[in-house]
Amino acid sequence: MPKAFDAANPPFDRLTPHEAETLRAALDIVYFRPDEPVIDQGSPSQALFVVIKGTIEERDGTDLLALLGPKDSFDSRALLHGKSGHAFVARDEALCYSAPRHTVLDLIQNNPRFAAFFYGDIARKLDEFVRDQDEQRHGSVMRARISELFLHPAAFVDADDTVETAGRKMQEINSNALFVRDGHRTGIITGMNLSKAVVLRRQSIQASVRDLAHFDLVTLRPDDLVSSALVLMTKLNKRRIAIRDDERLVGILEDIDVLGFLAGSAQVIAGRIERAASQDDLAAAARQTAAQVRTLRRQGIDVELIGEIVSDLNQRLLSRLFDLVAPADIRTGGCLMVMGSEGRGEQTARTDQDNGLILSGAVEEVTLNAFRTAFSGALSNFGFPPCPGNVMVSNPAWSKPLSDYVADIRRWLTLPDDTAHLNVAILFDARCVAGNAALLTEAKTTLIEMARGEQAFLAHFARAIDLFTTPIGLFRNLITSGGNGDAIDLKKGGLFPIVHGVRSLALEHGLMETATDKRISRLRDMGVFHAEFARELHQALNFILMLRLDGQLAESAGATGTLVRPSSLSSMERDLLRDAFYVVKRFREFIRHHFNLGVF
Amino acid sequence: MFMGFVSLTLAITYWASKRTVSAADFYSAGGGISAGQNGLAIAGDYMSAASFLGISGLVYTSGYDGLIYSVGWLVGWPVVTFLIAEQLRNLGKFTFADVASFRLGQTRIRILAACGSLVTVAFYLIAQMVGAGKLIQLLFGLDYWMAVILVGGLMMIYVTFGGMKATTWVQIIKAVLLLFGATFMAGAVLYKFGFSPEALFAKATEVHPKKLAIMEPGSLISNPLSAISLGLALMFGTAGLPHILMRFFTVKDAQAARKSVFYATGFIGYFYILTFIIGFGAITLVSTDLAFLDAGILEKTKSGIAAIRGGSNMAAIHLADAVGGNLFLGFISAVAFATILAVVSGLALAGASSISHDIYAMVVKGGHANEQDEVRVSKIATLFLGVLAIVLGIIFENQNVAFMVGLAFAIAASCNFPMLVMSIFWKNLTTRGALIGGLLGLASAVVGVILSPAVWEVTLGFAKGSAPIKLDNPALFSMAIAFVSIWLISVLDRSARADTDRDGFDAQFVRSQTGIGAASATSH
Repeated sequence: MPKAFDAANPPFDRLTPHEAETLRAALDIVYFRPDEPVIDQGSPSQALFVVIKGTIEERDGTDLLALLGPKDSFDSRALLHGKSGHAFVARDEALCYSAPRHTVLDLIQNNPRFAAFFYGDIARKLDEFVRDQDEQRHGSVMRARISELFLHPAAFVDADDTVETAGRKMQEINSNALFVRDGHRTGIITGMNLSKAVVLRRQSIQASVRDLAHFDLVTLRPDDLVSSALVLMTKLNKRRIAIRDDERLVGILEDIDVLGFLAGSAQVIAGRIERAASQDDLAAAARQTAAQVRTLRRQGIDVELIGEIVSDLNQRLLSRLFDLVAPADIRTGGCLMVMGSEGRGEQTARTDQDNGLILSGAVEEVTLNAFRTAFSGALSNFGFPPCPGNVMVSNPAWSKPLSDYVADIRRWLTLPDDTAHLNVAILFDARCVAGNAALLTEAKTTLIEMARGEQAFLAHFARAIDLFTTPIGLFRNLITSGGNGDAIDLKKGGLFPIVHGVRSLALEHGLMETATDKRISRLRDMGVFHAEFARELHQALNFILMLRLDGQLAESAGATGTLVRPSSLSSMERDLLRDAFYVVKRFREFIRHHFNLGVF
Repeated sequence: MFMGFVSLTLAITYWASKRTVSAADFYSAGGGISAGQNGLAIAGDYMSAASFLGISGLVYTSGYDGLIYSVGWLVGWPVVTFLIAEQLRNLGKFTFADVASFRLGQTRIRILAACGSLVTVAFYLIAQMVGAGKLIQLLFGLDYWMAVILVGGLMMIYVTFGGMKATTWVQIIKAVLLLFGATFMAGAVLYKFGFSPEALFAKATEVHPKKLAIMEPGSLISNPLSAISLGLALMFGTAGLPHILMRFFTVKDAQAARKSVFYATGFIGYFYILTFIIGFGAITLVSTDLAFLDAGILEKTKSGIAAIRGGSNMAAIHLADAVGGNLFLGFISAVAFATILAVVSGLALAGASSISHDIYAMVVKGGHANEQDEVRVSKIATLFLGVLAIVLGIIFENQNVAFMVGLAFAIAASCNFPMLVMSIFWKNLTTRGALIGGLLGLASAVVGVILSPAVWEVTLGFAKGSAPIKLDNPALFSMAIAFVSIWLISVLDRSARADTDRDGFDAQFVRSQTGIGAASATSH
């Protein structure tokens, strides 16, 4: 009776403790020799297998579809429909749990959430997944270690030092708390202690800090859990905890940082941006913004929401920088816009500079050039890498008067050259972040009016969705090009077709929204999509975005940041990815039909 | 051998379609298809089984008169160049229904345009099915009806699963293979005669039962009216073929459209010269070789020409065997088969698009169709067209395929072409005029086809000489009816709609000549 079976592994985490016990009691362990078939293609299975050790190949004929590793379970189709879609073969020596068919079927019957994994349509599965993540959120935060949090530096004053010395030291290290050494005991003193002493008790600033410090230090170690810190703070009513590594004090943990970690500190950063008086202040805020993505994501927050929060912060940042850098005539007569994924509010771990400027009239060349260099230079300093396609304010092609843009738009539509479609896509996704938004609205209105009814242009525009195949086969299998080290390109295979297809439809229907999900909703309201399909598309988009973000955060995604190795996904994620790609495939068919791409 | 070559052809096509998807960067498709590529693709779309099998078959049976088809089809291309290509691309529309409804009333015009397209597509499909059916029958010894069902089934599978991918590349590959194969065949024929066409023609007149008459006009079409009628159909039909008109949509601009027609004309002209040589080659090499003849018929008629196994449509296929042996026979059959499949898929695409878009979305649903339903309808329409093609293919078994294509052209020339050309060039065209005139043209063409000797007597089996209309091809009178009635009714039209139609012309004209201006004359 294998007690080691991990019931927290999806989908078994949906079982009640009692059900999990029933399952455990029924489990067996089976051993497979290398190349031994576990389930033959097209045959039923009397058990649900969960890999303990080794690797199982999922094969379709001679094609290797996936490698299943520890904790992956298979094969629901063989179990439920009595016919496995694929063959399962042990790659090397493998150990598996086997759960008898009737036991699993009983569980499925009695536990709808468990059953949903095996039946259920795509959209519902995706929803289930999101809900699971919500449930895990607090868990994952609470399991974090103190070392992952921001700590104030450990700085020391002597108990004999004066209030003034301590105050200066705090100022110097930009912290609000210091350790106080008094013989072999150590205490802590805060800025609040100092000001209370001087202001309320009218003590001299030359007084020693000995009587002001608290020597009842609460200490924890860097690898203690964040939850312990929170418990201690609440129980002892302390706002600070000393962090001690062996005998050495390494820092001070403040309650505000714990809270910031739990809730994200978007508000704090927003405030910092608003108050920033110099580019240096903004640079600090920019770094914190970048760090937010990771913090928010590890709390299990939905990518869409992260996208909203972070692009709001970036918008404030750019807007503030614009105020600081731009001379008055550019500030009042210009519209600063962001484009690309930033314009669509689509979250990535690393945000390129994708921005441009529309001017209401001509601005003196010298002033304009100075602004172009200063603005893009400042963003580079903030850590935004330059746009590879050079779509930046520093590029005169993307910072010029409205009339020039309108002339461009006319040329793009009537005499499209090699870059016309790309430029249309860029401008159509643009969003105003500072200055006179009416300028961008006018440019986009021109674009929409010019494109209205232009079947040929729209078809040539939409045709880009055909450049890459979606890595999914006829039988909903993920297509990797064989072998172990293969990866699937999320952008080419899934993200780009959705984003560009939706963009083409949005352009045809003259939508002003820039976010892909908002465009999908509008298109649904206009009756272009069935409500059901709109939901599936939206969820597929979100799921792929989430995988991409996770890949980028884990820095495992290769140079483009969009590669995902099927073997690095859980089998549930693989299932969802399969479903998402299947939606993409149907969507491409839709676009091909709508824009008559069949003739190309 | 045949299967091997078919797989090879399909594999090459698959590779080509893959090539288009491994582009280095997003959006690099922006420029559209180049004029040269599109020229080849148009040629590929146009050089159907009818041209290859049918014309060589007609030359085989009738000699010089077979050329009237080649010439007529070739002359159609300048018409396309000067009247249609650039204007269509400038208007930026997908089908001629879209063009015609630029300034005319959408709903009514679309119904008519869809009918015109569908009837044209149907006749064109018949020709392809007959060609393919005969080919498969000959190669595999199947019954004709089984062969037709097989081909129809394959076509439906091909179109529904991925046949619509990278159509341009499919056509390009096909055109190249066909040009190569035909060049080789014609070269081999001439080689046998020491590269002397005179020797070839001398030998042909010697072995052909009609003797010297095959070098003179009149053996196929004796009646001058028939000749003019056929010529008109072939010349003006091209400009009304829905699947050809779609080809101008894929290039970057009007200039590229015009250039691509220029290239296509070159390829097609060259190809027809080859078919002529192939036809005469077949007279000399096939009709004299007992291996290619049906002993029973030979016994009865004493003519090698009539006794050819599989009928006159198979002349080119037998010739491939005669000059290149089994290997080349396999190659040419595979190319012919792939050609048919590709043309058929292009036709099915055009037909299905006109059913799902023009009839279902615009008319049945009043422009508010859900796109996903439209996709479904288009798939159903493909299946429907497939079944229709199979049934008609079986009915029209013994027709020469080039002749059948001539009928398709007659219909295109009598309905689609008048509507298209008048809507582009004549200010006073009104919705009512286009609708009624187009309908009369369509109806008279269809009735003319059915009551003609070829269909009434040969296919429907009525007594010889009982056909009510003596013309084999109705284009002469049906085109006249279409143009005259469109003109007359438009001139007499005093409705409010007519004023709107006429007012929209100037905007449309500027747009069609320059590509500048709004995409619709009735922008709201």
